[in-house]
Amino acid sequence: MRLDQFLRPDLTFKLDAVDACDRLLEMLSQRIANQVEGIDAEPLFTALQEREQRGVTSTPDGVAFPHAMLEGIEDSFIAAALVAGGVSMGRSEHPPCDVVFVLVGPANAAWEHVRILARLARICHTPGTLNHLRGSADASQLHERLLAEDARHV
Amino acid sequence: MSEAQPRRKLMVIILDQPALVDELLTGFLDLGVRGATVVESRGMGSIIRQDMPIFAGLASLFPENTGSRMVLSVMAESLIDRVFSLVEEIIGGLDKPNSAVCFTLPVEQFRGIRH
Repeated sequence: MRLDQFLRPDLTFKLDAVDACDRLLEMLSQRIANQVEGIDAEPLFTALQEREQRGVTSTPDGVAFPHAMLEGIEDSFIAAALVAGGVSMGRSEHPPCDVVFVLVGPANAAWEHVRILARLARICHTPGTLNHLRGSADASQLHERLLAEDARHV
Repeated sequence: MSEAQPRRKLMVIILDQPALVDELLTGFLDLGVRGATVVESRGMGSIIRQDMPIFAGLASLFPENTGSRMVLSVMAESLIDRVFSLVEEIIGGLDKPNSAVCFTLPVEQFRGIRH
């Protein structure tokens, strides 16, 4: 499933250091709410927090995939962020996450949600991809590089 | 009369590198394949090398392999080409020895829902 329909330049961020996972999720929820019509920051933040409490979405590669399915929205979207220095998502054996993808989708589109997560996981698992993304000079370049990495895969 | 069903095929993938199963299943999800069965398997060469000493002197004829995974999935015919490409992408080319083999078989009837 190609990601170009879900990635948005206005939802791609390069962030300064953040001291805690909850702070990061709150900040991203607010930024998403500022850009996406029909999204309120607080319920999104709560949904992301609840998901992390059920099981941390970080990986041993320093990437996190917090995600939520919400009532009242029609389309899935991805917010992508580079976080200076990374932030621990709560799993001590994983390094701090400096690449974070927030996936938000409609409550009635579970399979689409799974497919997008799988796509993100494939892209991030490809050797060299994370370093390529981490080397982005700004949010715009991160967006371009994500599209390029996505296009490399079947 | 039952409703017309989409044309389906059985995809069989035998991976000689069991560690790649996770990557393959992630790719399945990405492409929209919603189910598969994974079986721990051993190739003929492995059995002959390890369990049939009468052929020990000819062991070099058979691939040295400690185990494989057989992945079975009935899927829409429209997905088949993409799944072949996915396997090639993960394996790095199906022309390499001891990598994987994959093939499809026609499905004449299909009943049951797993998801």
